[in-house]
Amino acid sequence: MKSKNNLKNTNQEGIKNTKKNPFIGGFIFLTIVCIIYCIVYFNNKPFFYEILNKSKGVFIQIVPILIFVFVIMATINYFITTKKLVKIFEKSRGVHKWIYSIVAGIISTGPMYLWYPLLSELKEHGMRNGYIATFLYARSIKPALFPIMIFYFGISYTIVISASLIVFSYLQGKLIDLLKV
Amino acid sequence: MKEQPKTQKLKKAIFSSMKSIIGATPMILGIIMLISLISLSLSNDKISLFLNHNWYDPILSATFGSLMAGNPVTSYVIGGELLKLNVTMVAIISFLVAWVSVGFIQLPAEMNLLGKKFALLRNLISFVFSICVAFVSVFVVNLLG
Repeated sequence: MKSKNNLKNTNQEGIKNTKKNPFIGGFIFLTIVCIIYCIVYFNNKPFFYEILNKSKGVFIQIVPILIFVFVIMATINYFITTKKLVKIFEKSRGVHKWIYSIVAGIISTGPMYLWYPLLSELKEHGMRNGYIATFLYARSIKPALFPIMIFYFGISYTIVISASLIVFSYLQGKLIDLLKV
Repeated sequence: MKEQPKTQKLKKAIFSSMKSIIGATPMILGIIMLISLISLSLSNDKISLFLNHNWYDPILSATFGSLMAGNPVTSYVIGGELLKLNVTMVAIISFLVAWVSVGFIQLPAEMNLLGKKFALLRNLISFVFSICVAFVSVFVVNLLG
């Protein structure tokens, strides 16, 4: 059995393996695309202005939605804390535990890897893998991103995809338990 | 005196959300610019990688979604732009769901912390389910008209 210190070290190693600054990756990608745009500019100026206008148009459409997304994200971050989620997990039993796993997954924020250490500790305290799998799959539903989803795919798809994800997150948990992983 | 923790909490919430949105902005901008370039460069109305095939398209897009990581906002932007290029909805939903549920890049950490067998099986099931969710969603929306 792992001691608490060992578990902490393992957690930190695990995080180190994956944690990287997403801004740097995005910035490198943007720089590469800008270089491609420069090449287009020197080869075909009218086409350059055409793609630039198209990009500008799409970006302007998205900005108000991103602001809305930011407001919802901040609201969720203000009201939901990791402590609250852990309390919910620990208190619930039976069918409620499945429901809370789904709800906790939906309202949890941040990258998936940040939740691994906490889930690992909950597992050490006897939490079943099925609940963990359900929690992780329910994270696919992002209420903060509903505005951008509605903008691109419409309200019907937003509702139906979210409902399907809830059902499949439960199924995944059950399947993991059934396979005795 | 009670106001101070609340203000701090609010500041923390705003900072965390702002960090998330600002962090995703260069990627979103790059994706928009690249898709604009591709869509205007292609003479046909579809990205040639997608064949409008019932199984090939969702498997391909779920594979892309599994390999990519980052803020889900980016996946919605890509999905939305692909939709404008007439890529099928099943393929787009598979991509979106795989992006957030399958963590190929995060797999070493997941295996390390939650167990090798669990991590591998969970990601495999999530991959298959991303395609199932796509088919079910499209079927239900079509059924509802």
